[in-house]
Amino acid sequence: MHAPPPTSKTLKGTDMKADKSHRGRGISRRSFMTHTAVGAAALAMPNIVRAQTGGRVLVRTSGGSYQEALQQGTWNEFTKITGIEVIGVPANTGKLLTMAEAGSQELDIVEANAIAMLTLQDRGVLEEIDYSRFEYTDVNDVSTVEPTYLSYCAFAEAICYNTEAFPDGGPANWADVWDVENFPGRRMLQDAKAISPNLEFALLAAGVSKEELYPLDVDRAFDMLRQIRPHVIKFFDSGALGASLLAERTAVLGALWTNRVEALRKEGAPVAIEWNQAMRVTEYTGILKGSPNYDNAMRLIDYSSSPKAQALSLPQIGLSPENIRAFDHIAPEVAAILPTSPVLKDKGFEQSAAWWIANRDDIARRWEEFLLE
Amino acid sequence: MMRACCRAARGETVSAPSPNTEAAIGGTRRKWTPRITSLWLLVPALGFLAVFFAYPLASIVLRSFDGGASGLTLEHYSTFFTVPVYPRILWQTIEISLLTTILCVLVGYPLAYVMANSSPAVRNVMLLMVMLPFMTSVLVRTYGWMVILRPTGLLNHVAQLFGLPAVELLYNRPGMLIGLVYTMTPYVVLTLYSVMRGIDGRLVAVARSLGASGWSAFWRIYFPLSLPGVAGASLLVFILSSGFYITPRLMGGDRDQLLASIIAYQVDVLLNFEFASAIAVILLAITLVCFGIYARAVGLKQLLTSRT
Repeated sequence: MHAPPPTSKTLKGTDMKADKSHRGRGISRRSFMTHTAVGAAALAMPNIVRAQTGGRVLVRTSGGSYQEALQQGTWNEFTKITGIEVIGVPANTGKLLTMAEAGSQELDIVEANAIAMLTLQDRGVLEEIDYSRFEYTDVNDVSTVEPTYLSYCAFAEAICYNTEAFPDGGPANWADVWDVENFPGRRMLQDAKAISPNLEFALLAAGVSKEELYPLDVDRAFDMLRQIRPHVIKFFDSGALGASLLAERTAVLGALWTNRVEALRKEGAPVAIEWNQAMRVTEYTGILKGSPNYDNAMRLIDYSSSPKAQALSLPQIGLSPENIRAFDHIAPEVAAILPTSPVLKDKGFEQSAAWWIANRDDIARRWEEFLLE
Repeated sequence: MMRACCRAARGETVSAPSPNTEAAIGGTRRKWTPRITSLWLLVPALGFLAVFFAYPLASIVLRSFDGGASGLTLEHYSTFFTVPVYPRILWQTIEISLLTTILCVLVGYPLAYVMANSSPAVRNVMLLMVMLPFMTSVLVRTYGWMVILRPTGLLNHVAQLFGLPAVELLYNRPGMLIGLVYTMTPYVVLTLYSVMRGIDGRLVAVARSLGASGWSAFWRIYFPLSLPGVAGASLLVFILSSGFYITPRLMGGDRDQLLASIIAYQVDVLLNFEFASAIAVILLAITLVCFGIYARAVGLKQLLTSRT
């Protein structure tokens, strides 16, 4: 990594095939390139570059406590085993796409929810994954395995409420959330800017069964949202905002990602989850085209999909591992509150990413119109 | 003499000796002509602008006409103006920016006036108090307001103690305006302050000595002289608010959609860079139109000088 500064001789050497003969006595073109590439990256991100031995790998995550948990569990363990440093970078999909288009991808791995990941896949920015190189993970244990991505974990969005606001028991289903007489109080629902608006929950509240949701009856869903809107203080556009609305009691019931509610509950907030009619969303992972550390990325994807690695970080933050054998390493009482645990799985349903990909632009416009009403 | 002062206030030439006449400022000074060699000094700045401003801007403009396989297209612009929701958001953006501008001037003008016309000690304290929030991250300041204004926040807590009814001042239009006015007012104060410091106080004194009431002297002498500052400050606040993102997004209600948040949504979530570029160009066009109106009505020179 720490090659001597390039001499003018090697810089001027135009015959690139002569690289190998340079090795040992000077600097090869390749090591020079790596050197400058790392230097450029260091200039771009001076605060996260540290001394390292086994190289590094940059992972896009949604940031926050999720990334922290991965860093402390899975990634640290990976660094111990391989010497490769893992750097988490919170970035939005727009940034990933821009970097890909500019041909200067800084990141290696992307982790994102199904809708975002399928969008990236459509734009052709994902690299093929070489599953034959997997050492830690048996791909047969992973729920979804595609040429360019595989499922990593599952989270869920469910009814959440403040237990102090409803001492006699909170809402039991989405119809209750829409019932402002029996469950009075300010509500919170999700904005289209965060994954998707809660059309599914609106339809469930209208009495549609969870098996017959898709294709969504969009008109009906918006009608239901119109009904509840006067009682919604804010449509949250990020999990962080949703969590603060609930924690500060700005809203006393509504929708939120269960891992966010769990985090609040652990801190002692009087909040609870109702798992009935919860919606599961799968988080996928893949390697970006032009990944500067492809080999390291392959190793990390392999390692983080393994049962042990998944058990190290995900259950702690209320997320379900997508490697089924990870449950062998998780205590039963912990497994019981994960979105894909047998008990909870039957209560809920999985969001159809395919439907959203097909209808997203249309819904985006309708959502903006709805907001202005 | 009184009339002469008024004419001076309107920017007309007066024959009475005044430090503000053209001759006193630059008429007798020798014209300085730059030599070609000294133009080289501009190269670094121009190069920087070319790489980090002109090029990205040009690529955004180009992208807004990008129709993919079909070559150049006006499709993104026609989408913007034919889907009713977008012109409405455009209009709403202008409306909110105007409202913010008016409120900021109403709050900032008296503040700047007091600052410009008080003793140095008081002035410095006031200047510090205006500048301090400037040095804090806008995100931190916005969260500060949220802690105060939210339904379970400080303000409602205090209101409750005094038996007053709770107020809803977060996640709605008034809440967003509080945040916007708070963030933008320092721009008004600092712009107006520099203009007001340049106003010759003797003009007001003369008006008073000729029998004008304090009120009349202010409105007929001081206020007209400060108008270029008001115009400059308004332009600045209007342009900044029309593209502002953080505060409206955090403090505004669901109905308070502005162009900036639509652009972010198109880029971050929908990955429709072409449409986002078109909206950005439209926002830029609004800014340029405001700038043009200002240039015609007041003159760009006024924006760059603090002397009246």
